[in-house]
Amino acid sequence: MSVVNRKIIFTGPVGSGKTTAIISISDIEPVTTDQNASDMTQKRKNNTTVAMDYGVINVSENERVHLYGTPGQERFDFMWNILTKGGIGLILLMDNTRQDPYQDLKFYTRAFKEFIDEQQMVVGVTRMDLQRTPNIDNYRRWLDELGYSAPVFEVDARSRKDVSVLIQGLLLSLDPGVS
Amino acid sequence: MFNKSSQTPLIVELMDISKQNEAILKFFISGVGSKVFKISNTSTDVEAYIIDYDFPGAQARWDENYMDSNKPRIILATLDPKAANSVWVGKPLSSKKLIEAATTIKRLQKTATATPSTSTQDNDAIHEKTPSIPEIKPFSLVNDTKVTIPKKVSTENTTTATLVKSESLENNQQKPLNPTKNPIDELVDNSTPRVDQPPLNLSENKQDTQKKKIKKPKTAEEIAAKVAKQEQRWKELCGESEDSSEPITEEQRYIPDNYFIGKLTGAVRLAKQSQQVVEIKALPHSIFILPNEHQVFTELSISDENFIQFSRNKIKQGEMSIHILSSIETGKLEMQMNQLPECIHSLESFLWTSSLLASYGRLPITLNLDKKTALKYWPSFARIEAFPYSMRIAALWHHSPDTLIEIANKLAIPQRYVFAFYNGAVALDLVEHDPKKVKKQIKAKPKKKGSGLISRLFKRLLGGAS
Repeated sequence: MSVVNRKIIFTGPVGSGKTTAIISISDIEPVTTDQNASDMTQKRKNNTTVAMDYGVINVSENERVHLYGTPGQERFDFMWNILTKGGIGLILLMDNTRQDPYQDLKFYTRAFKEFIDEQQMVVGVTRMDLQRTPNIDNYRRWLDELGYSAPVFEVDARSRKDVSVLIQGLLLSLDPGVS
Repeated sequence: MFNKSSQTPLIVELMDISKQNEAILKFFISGVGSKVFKISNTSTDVEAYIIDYDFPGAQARWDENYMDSNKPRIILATLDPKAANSVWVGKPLSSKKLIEAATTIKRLQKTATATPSTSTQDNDAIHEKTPSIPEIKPFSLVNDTKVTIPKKVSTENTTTATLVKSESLENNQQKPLNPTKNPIDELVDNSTPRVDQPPLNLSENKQDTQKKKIKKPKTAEEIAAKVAKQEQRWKELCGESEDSSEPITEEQRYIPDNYFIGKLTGAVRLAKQSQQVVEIKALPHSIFILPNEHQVFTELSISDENFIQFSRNKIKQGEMSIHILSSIETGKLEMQMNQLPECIHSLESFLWTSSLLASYGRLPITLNLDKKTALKYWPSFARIEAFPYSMRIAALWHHSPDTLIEIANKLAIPQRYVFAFYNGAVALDLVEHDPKKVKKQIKAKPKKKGSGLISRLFKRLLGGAS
């Protein structure tokens, strides 16, 4: 019996919660490649992902959805194209406490433009409990400006329910008639 | 970028490896690690084996079938097995550890072929203290492999690739294995002094993750009570009206301005326009709207029984008033908010629930049911009170403008859920009554590829059988 595999990509800036989100939803003990942060990243957190994060949702005996988290630092962008190959959609996590979330949004939508155009994207805004502005409306309008139409949700990456909502949003964007 | 000229990949065979680690390895080897490893199934080509010692029976199978093999192994394991002729790669796997392991094996091979040696000589070659063999370059992610300052590798560090050539060499294991700076380190290190710590904060992450919390098993009664409570709440939000082939009656219509929701949406509009905090005085209650923070400050709770009546009662003239706060009042409010953080609500959630409770499955009197409307944006679903089919309504309506009746028909769901969604979306200013304006925004076409799997995954996430 052949196994059907699909892939969902989690991306976003350093500290936006990609690793945590995958840990929250994965059916297996996720594989992470965190290392001690030793550059500017150290200001935001002690550890950072240097290769990728990996988790799985087992859909059925022979169907799996693999979850890949990209390294957040831009210097690892060579990984991004590799990771997105064969992916069904992108979950872009935005850290609301970062200095310029609009620039982050612009950067990541541009970096993954080809993939987003081919597939679908959903945006999750994290750390809104620490920093309320910009608000969800701002993100919606920024996406408009950038020419994208995607669901935007305030999320806590530690919450399985919130991460589940992100994936549900992605699936429904892919196929609005899914039930 | 890889240094193609100076490197040849280490030809390996994957032995007993768990599927998850196999997936990781194959992914790594097919991409970034393609110049580091090459997988071969022909035993004559193989230079080393990769084996997962945590995989059930892996060690026993090795001992039984390959004990006599003189080819080295890269052993993936949580704990160092201290096996001879092997390099241990501690879990979780990382590209850095794998590259270091390959580098060590390569160095061992080179030394063995260059100088037929005694075990002591091997030991010296493997555990060199300075880069005394410059012709052997470590695998690199940069074009030109640089000779770098020797760097100590702590046993507590993430890079605990340990080579055990023979039992007699164990005493030397504390020495640095690879004195040249690993190219991966060049990417990570940035010349900053590095505090060596365990590679992963997985245990902390686990603590943070809600799903890892130990939950008390629920009894059937508790589950039934929870389900009944949830269904009751959906009735409060969406009403109980059954679909009818008859036109919508007047009883199924309402005037939002006659209710608290009318005042609330007016106050939100004013707050957004003025960019000031606006207060709704609804004695004895006060509701403050903070437009930038998208928050509401009030002692009222949307989940409270009293809030249902508060939202559903028609307001009398002069009963509620709106005013913009002065800077002094805003300062006082900030102090209050610091003292009573439990009274801070998400504006989107507050608007949504207030609107649904007021409408109770009815529709605004002004809405032309034959006219198509569009959903400009999805609500922030992780923060609003969702009800059955709400995300599916959002997806379909956002994808293509339609009448509310048609949306219900297409999804084959009771109309009251679509009506409730419409009311919530209008309160959040997410509805565009002129669909032509929205058409241009919709870019990507929905994909149907793998829709069976998508459907099963969707059900799985909703908690149903997959």
